[in-house]
Amino acid sequence: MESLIILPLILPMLTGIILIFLWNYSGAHKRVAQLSSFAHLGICIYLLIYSSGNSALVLNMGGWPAPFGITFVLDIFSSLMLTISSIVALCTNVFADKMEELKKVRLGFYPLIQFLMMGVSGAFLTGDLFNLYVWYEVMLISSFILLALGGNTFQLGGALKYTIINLKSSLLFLSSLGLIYGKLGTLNMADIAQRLMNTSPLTPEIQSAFVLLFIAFALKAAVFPLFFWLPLSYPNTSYSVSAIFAGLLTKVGVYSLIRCTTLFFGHEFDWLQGPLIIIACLTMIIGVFGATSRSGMREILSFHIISQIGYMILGLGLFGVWGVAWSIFYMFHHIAVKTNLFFAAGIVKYLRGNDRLSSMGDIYRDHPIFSLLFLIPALSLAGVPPLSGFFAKYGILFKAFDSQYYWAAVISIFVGLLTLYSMIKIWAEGFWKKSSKKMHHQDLKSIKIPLTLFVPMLILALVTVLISINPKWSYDISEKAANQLLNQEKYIQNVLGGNS
Amino acid sequence: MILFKSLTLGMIYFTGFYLLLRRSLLRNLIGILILSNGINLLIFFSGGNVKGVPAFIPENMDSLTGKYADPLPQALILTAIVIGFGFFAFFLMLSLKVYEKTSSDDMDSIEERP
Repeated sequence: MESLIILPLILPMLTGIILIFLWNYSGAHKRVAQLSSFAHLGICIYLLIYSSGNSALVLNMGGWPAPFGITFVLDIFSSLMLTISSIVALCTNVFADKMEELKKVRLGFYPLIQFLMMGVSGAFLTGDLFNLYVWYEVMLISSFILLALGGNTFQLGGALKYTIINLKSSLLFLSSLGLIYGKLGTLNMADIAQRLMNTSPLTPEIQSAFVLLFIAFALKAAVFPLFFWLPLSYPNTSYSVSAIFAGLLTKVGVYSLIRCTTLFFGHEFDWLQGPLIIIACLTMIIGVFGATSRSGMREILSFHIISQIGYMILGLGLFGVWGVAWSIFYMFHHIAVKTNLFFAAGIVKYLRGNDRLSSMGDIYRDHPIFSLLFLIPALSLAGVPPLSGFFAKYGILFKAFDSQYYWAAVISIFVGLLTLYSMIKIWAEGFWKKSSKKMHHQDLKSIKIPLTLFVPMLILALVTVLISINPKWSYDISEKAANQLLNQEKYIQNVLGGNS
Repeated sequence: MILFKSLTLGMIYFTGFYLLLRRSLLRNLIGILILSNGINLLIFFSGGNVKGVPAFIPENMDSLTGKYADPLPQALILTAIVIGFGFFAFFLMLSLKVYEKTSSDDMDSIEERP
């Protein structure tokens, strides 16, 4: 059973390699990629079902025992994230079929998505900090190329800034690894956690090394002072690429942040709590205000990624089983919703030529079913009951009141309202407004939405609805995951075994 | 020795960060290169450098006794060098592409929004 947890990693890698060998047969790329993503999803669901009933699975690569070799750990949190990201990857592979030009497919769009998924899966699975760094780089290099692929000037400009800022964060990450290794003499996460438990109280040297690590994660997660790259790069790349990025990349940063803070400092969280909550609130506010100032659909949505990241960090900052559990709930609800909204932006582009609000209009009249489908993720993002976003926001709000951070609670309500405002803006401007285009009514109406664009949206909307109609199930599994995360001794024991 | 190490590292980091603060693409590129070398050095120093002691367990023994050299930082640096080189190559090409399109080395001259 243990060796199965390497599969979510190996499968995208093999598929990517096969696709590279099939370079000249680019027509076959999408079929192979879709098939592989489907298998990936199957494996992830199986792992999720297995891990939800068992303790964490540990795999030591090459049989080297834990603190020395590379360790992979699969617990509920990682399998949950694997499953939802696998759904997103599958949907993107289907969506890209009609959305991506043939030129980009020839340049290796599908293999790159596979390598991206390999990096993402690796980051979710690994139990070793240096290995985490390597998976980040695998993910980043694929994302750089995807961003710049077949680029026009704007796209290259965005890609350039994204590349520079991410290179810098990688350098910070690596420096922090050097410092941590110098201080603690290990990079295995369980081993670090164990040594940190034995060094109480924490010295400033150790704290500073870890703060450097958290800054690197925060940069990837687009948290408050470090978010500028996101709204520059995401709206300029191609639509299917921005959809998968919006769903996955920042969330990998949040995942690492949750994983490392809970595992390393679960027993001594006080020194992190204040900064995390303040940063979370600032992230929420800045993101949502940025969104109100923009007029392109993807620009608005990009800023909303930032504000939603704030909620996740707030959940983590409030801590306790509740806080972390709602944070996890928020993450997987958000991945489905956000990718779906970017898909919707892609379909709008397909229908109207671009996604600027000024050139949209009359979409509800021409495509009522698509418009209603857009409403599900849009209202869920804003937290309108009974959709999944409502429960996620409610949980974090409740926890904020419970821990007596009233101001944080007030801010999160306020941000929720502004999110609703943005979604209504998109709806009113894009879907209800009379189209200003000189095009003939019949011409606009005659464009049919292809099935391959429609089905991914339908699948993700279905995920949102499933979370919405049975939030208890989703919460229960998040709570289990949070319990597992906060039980550091169990994790250490699982990884290091009895010989520590 | 520790003073020498930290001064060297400080100078390299200083140079790297100074170059990263510039708007010129090429200087950024060089800054990243210098900084990544500095980080490799940092990892190397973090292993605690000792001279003339074994790094591996001899054939007829079960464990190392006394002082020993830590071989792990070298392995980490090797990985970091490879990754850093790949990144640098990509960044170089991307900058070239951007330069071809905009014929400017200034990062702020690149338009961001259509």
